[in-house]
Amino acid sequence: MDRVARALVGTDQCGPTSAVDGRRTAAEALVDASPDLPPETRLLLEAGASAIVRLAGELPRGPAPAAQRCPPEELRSCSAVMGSILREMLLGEQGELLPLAVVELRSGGFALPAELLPVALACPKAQRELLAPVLGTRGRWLAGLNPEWAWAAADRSDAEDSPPADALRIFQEGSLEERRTVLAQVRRHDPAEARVWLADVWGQERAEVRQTLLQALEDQLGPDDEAFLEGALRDRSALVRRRAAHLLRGLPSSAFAERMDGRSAPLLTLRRPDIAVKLRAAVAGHAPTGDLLVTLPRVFDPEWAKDGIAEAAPGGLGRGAWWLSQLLAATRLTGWTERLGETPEELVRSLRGSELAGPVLDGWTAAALRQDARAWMPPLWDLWRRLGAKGILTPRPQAALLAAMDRADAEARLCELLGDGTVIVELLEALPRPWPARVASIYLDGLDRWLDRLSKRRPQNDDPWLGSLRTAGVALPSSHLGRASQLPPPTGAPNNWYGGKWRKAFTIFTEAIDLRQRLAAEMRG
Amino acid sequence: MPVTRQQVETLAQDSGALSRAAKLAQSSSWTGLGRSEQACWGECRGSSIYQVRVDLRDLVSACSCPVRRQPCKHALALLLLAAAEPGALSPSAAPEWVAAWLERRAAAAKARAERAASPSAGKRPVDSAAQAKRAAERAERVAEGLEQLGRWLGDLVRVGLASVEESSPGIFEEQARRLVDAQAPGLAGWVRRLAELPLATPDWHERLLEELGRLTLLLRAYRRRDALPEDLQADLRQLIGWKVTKERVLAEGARLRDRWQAIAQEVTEDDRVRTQRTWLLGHKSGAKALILRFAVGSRRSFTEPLHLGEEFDAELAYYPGASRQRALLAARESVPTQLSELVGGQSIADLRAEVSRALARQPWLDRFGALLSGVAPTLSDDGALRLVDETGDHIAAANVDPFLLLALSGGAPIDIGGEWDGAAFSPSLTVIDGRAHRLRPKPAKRG
Repeated sequence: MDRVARALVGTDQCGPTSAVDGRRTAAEALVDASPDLPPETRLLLEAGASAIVRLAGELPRGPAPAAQRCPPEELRSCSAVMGSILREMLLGEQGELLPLAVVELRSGGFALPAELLPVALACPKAQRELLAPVLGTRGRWLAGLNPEWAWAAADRSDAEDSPPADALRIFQEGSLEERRTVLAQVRRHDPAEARVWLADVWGQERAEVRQTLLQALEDQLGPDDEAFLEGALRDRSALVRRRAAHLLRGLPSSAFAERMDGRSAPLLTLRRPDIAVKLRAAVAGHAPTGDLLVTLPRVFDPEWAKDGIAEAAPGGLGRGAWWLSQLLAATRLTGWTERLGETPEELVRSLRGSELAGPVLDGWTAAALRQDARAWMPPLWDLWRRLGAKGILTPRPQAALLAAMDRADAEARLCELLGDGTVIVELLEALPRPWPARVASIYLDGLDRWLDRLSKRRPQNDDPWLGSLRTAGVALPSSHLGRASQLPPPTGAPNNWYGGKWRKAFTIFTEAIDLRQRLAAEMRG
Repeated sequence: MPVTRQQVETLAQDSGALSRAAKLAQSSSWTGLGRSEQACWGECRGSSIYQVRVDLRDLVSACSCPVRRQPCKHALALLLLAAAEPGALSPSAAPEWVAAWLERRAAAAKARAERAASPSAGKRPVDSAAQAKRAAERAERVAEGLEQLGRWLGDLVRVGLASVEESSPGIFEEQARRLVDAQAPGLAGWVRRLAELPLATPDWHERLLEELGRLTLLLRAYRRRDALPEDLQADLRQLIGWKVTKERVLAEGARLRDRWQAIAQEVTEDDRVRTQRTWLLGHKSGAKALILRFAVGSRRSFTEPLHLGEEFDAELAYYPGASRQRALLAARESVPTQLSELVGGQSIADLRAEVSRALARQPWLDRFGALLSGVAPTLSDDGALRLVDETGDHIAAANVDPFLLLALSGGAPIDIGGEWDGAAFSPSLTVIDGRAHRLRPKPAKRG
């Protein structure tokens, strides 16, 4: 019986030990020098002595693990100051500055400092794409040592992209999230294969699962998917039908699109300008505009429901208008330019006088966003701006359109607004970052003027300039940081809650600008 | 002595404090800024006006704000400002409130030094007869307590350790209380810590038996203490719980003057006491020293700052004993600066040999500070971190994020300061390309 076992059972139970049998360790031999001790004391002394012997004589067990050495770094390394600024952005209170800072690191050819790599590799999924290029050789090497960081590993060879070897097993047995991920991987690799996998399990799955897995088809959506999606339109679940309809709306030529054309075409007609209108337009010096005549659908065709059109309207909305918006949202925009023979600008302009401009605009906007119809976006945006209405299908139509339209168009529109001294925080937030130089200049001019007259201004609850500062601090391009840091602080602001809010917001703004300037200065060396 | 941003970062208790301070580190937030050879000062406009002063020789600060834990954000802000814009603090004569503070500090330092030089000065004349009587009484009570502890240990093993799983932690608490009553607080703490062992590791029975055995050895050694060398007797008395006063250490302890590097630091919390263990390594002597500090109750900062990763000239006074581990900072002789290079590292084999020698002198030691040189952090097949040196020798490393060490080193050999407890090395500090990296996670901010 060994020592621990004897201690566990208790020396009373073990009886006398034959102390001298077998070989005695040096520690045990020490205890033998005092033969009159009771057995429990002997045991304790042996244990204590051998504990000390073990501590004093610790030796490595087995051979050393094989060395893992990182290849030399190809990117430039950050200074200590850059490291502490970036730490603040990754872990501290300046998280909003991270995306721009990373873009600047990339353009300067820097890698994240080594001490921040474990944090960066453990970042939320949404940040992976942003951080991957600044991980450097060291980061990719490190990722290879931890299976959880496979997304960033050096020998990635599309580890993320290409499906794992046991993809089919995971798809059949995994959790819903695993199945969705693996199906998305297969889809990227071989769209048809993914569709076959989906079709194989389609009959046995719950509605929630069908709806989730169906999303995989969004990637690389093509004409081959049509038949499957048409089948899904007859699904038992309304959620699945709606998802399938949404997908079908992304296919420009399909039976679905034909059906929608047929339903929508009679609803909108163009009345050509008569001679009087033409004459008036010629005198005023602009092109003559026709009027768009809008007919509301009177009855809900049950066939529409199969294509994902909802019958019940949200509160406060006429049913006819609601059906109209949805039908237009599902209809090809190219159909209108072909059928009515006008450009998108003309068509949108012809809508101006209509009482039903709202629902049509809502439908067209949803269609333009879904079909990525860039030519439609600027005129639609202009009309939303004119009407000042809210969208139903697209809750923030102006911001959504601005974010989706061509940069030059978006820039021109924002500059015009800012030039008039109008700031709409929501739009500034939607603008891709960093802001284009022109927007930044006009914004800073406007802000300067606003600050200048702040003392005379009446307190206002949602001062848009005040609201825009936070976004500006993180979105101004690096070329404009110097200019931003020279803005006069709002010292003359009134000594009330309004002035207080301004001073606070301005402090946050200057801190962001200051931190970015320090980082930029460090990067220049 | 110019202040650097790195120094300020080292001083800050957490990055939150630092970023709060950064907001105030602009000359527009300050009035009456100034500096002298000894100190810098200024008045910070916050929710009211706070008077902030920092002694530049040791970076100890004082502020009129309600935050008691120093350095507060105002003091950090002042130092950040001094680091970023030295010109903002013009040399001038210290105002009254700064000068008075510096005088109070100087007076306190002088009083400490005098007390150290002549321990009896300034105290009531000692009634040596009464003192001897109290000492004899305590020795007797300790002896009784130790006898009782011996019986308790014997009973545990006679009945069998199998019952401990159910009776822990009660039996340890109770026995610890008895030892407190017997005026043996050192042993009381040891016994109380035994309660952490059951079920903590798969081999906890063996660990517990080893600890009980080491206690038994200590009891036997104490019983025949008269036969032991004097310095080992001193160790035994400290392990049992006799306090050695600072004055005595300063007066009698072996002195060593060197440039000291703070190579490892651990902070543990126990009830209301925070204990900070800092290991120092001397440049010239290669000697090591353990500085213990305690913070009790609500005032949770350690009296005099001592930061991992800095170095300074100082004279140490070692506590009496054969172990020659624990020491006091007798006198600081320079402002601490951030380490940019580690000096005096040892190989893994050297550490092992040193541990053996130390245990031969004082067998109850269980922690050893060390600076391992040229060890490559490496993951073994089971995912555990090991430090491997160029000869292929290797030891286990624990209590650290393995991927942080791998990220910093890239798998290449580096120098690592830390603490060895017989089972694993706890990395605390490394310096790479002139930059010190602290490897211990900072304790979470409280309150």
